[in-house]
Amino acid sequence: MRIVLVGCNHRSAPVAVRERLAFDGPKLDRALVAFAERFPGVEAVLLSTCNRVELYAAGEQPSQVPDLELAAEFLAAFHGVAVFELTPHLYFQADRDAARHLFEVAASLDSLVPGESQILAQVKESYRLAHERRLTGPVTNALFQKAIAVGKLIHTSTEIARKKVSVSSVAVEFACEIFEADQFPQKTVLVIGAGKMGELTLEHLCELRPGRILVTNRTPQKAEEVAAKWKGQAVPFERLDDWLAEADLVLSTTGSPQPLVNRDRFAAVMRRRGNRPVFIVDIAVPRDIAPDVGDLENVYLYNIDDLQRERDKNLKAREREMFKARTIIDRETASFLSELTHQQHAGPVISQLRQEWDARRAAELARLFSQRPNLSAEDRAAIARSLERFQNQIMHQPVSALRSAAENGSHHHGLLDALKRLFHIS
Amino acid sequence: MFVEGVKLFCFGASYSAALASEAAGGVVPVKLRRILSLAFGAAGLLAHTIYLGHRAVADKICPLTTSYDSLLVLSWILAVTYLSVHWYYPRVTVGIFALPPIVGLVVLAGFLGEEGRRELEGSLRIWGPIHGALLALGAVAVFVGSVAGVMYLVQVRRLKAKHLPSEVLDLPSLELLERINRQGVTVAFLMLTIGFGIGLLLVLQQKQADVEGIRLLDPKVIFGILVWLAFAVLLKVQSQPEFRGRKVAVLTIVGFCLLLFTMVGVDLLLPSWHHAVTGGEKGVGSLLPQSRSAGKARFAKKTPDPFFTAGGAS
Repeated sequence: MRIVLVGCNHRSAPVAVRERLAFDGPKLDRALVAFAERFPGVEAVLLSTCNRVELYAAGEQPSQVPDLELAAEFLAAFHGVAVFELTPHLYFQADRDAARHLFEVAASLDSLVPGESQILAQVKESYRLAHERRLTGPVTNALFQKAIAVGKLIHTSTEIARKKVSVSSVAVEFACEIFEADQFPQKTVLVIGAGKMGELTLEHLCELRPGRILVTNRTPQKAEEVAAKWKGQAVPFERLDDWLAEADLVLSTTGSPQPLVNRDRFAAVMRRRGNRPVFIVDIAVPRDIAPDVGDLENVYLYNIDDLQRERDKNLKAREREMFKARTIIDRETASFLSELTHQQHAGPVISQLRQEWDARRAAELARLFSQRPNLSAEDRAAIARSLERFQNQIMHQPVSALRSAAENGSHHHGLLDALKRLFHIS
Repeated sequence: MFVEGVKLFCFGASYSAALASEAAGGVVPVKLRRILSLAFGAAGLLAHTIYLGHRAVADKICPLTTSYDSLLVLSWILAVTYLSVHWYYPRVTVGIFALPPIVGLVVLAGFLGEEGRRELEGSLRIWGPIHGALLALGAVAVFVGSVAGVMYLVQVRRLKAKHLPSEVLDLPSLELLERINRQGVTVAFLMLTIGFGIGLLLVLQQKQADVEGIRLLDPKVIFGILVWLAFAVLLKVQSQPEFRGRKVAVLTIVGFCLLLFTMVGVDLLLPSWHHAVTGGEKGVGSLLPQSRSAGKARFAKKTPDPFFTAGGAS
């Protein structure tokens, strides 16, 4: 049995190379068909995302499974790229390392933003496609099912996915500390300015589904553009205080050289808004909102430094969680490989042994029932059940010993040989 | 036998252990901490339930007739509330806010000690427990509002310091806490209005029947009216913009302390007839030696009164 992985990711290859290797849309389907033709009988799954392209191949016969050279040739030929252009950016891993790598990918430890949940869905989708094309088999089925289980386990048993590591998502986290999640459809977001960073933060805030988005800018045309993009409403900049009085979340990102709003002006706004809490994200540099506005009651003001400081704390916490996650992956990789080895070697022997004993049991029961024709149907069923239980009990110990030996990696083949010889299994 | 062995110490210690587990944030792993606090809290609640149930069955008297019982029933309802929140919202740090008052009430009950209880008679037999139950429910509502208020103040402090939640301290949103606080005060006001109303009617009925007992100028009645007025004001100010947020949270906590003092402190520190009506052996103003003896002496003279003929008063 052999498992290999050939691929590239955001660390090994620049985006220009990844773009050329990407299997987007129908290309993935065609690649799977081409692989099946080129390597018949070999199991394969192709994982293609914006940050990685990976080909997992496996087979019962190691000689059939392509090595780095063959796999690179296949990828290059499919994409019409010279092999020598690809090879420096590709990595190759086999067996334990390949399985471990896939588990890390599924658990989002190898992602550009560790802990993001999208990759697990992408792994599932890649596996589903390969399964539909009948390119998976006993090894890849076991490998990908385990990878998906490990991905879920890491997400539920560690805090890796909880820690937000972008400034925009930290802003959203702060918003959720102030407002109830299910109340956002009743909230109004006011965007002051039309900067790129502001749009990125607005994109995250829109995940909360606010009821209304107001966009204001000194240049009305720019406000119209942003409002149209985010299904908001462009409002005149001259009436800024009116919009501040209405908004629950304010996102300020203008290029103004001095603060737009000082403490006194905002205190008047707070009186107009009945002292309702307001969450202000000021990511403009220089700042749009005077820092002492944050001292007002029910005003929660955060600038870019505040958000970055929390983001850095989250990054550190996530690194600690990654250590925990890697420990789990080590354990799960060892367990997966021993289970796979057990299934590969002991599976057929155990199955044969069970079939032989089933046949002997049936013959013994038939002989007994012919000698005792007066036995009722109920008695016959009870005797049959009893014999079956007895057989299972007898088989339990050798099967457990085999599994345990496979997990420890010791004397596995010796036990298997002994079992074959003791019970005359070919 | 086992049931009789369950003492106040059993559940007091369990709640204290749950509090210690909750307070061990940063030292004990989060999951272990949650399991420990839940286990100790549940063990405490079980012992608490057995203790109260045994008392009610053994004496066949409503468990709200004395300060001792009222404190234990109140702490029992609060413990149920705490465990429910802990069970359904395991991530929310509620124990370090809810458990200290629960432990405090149990300790206060232990400090007061068990008192003799008298079966109430006449209209008091029906309306007395209703009056007590409504006040207890009002106290629970204020307690929930106060805990939400304390959590609100902590959350405001953290947000103003610009920190995100940690594993040690994870609180609900400000908006939710403010809503719980507001609803707690509203429900409490409703319960207190009906509860105090019934109490006042009972006082008037006693006066009309020319029976010795609680009068309108009794400290308990005066403090009851003050508490009701305080909550009426609190209900009014919580809709005022200038009081929104922190001020209402602080006022709710003050309201809870005032209500607790009225329910328990007045009996201990002031010469009130209320305690004697329910059969407390310590009599009026039980922490004031002179009041105690004076109360007892006064009480002894009134024994022919139909309210107090059931014995144990003199």
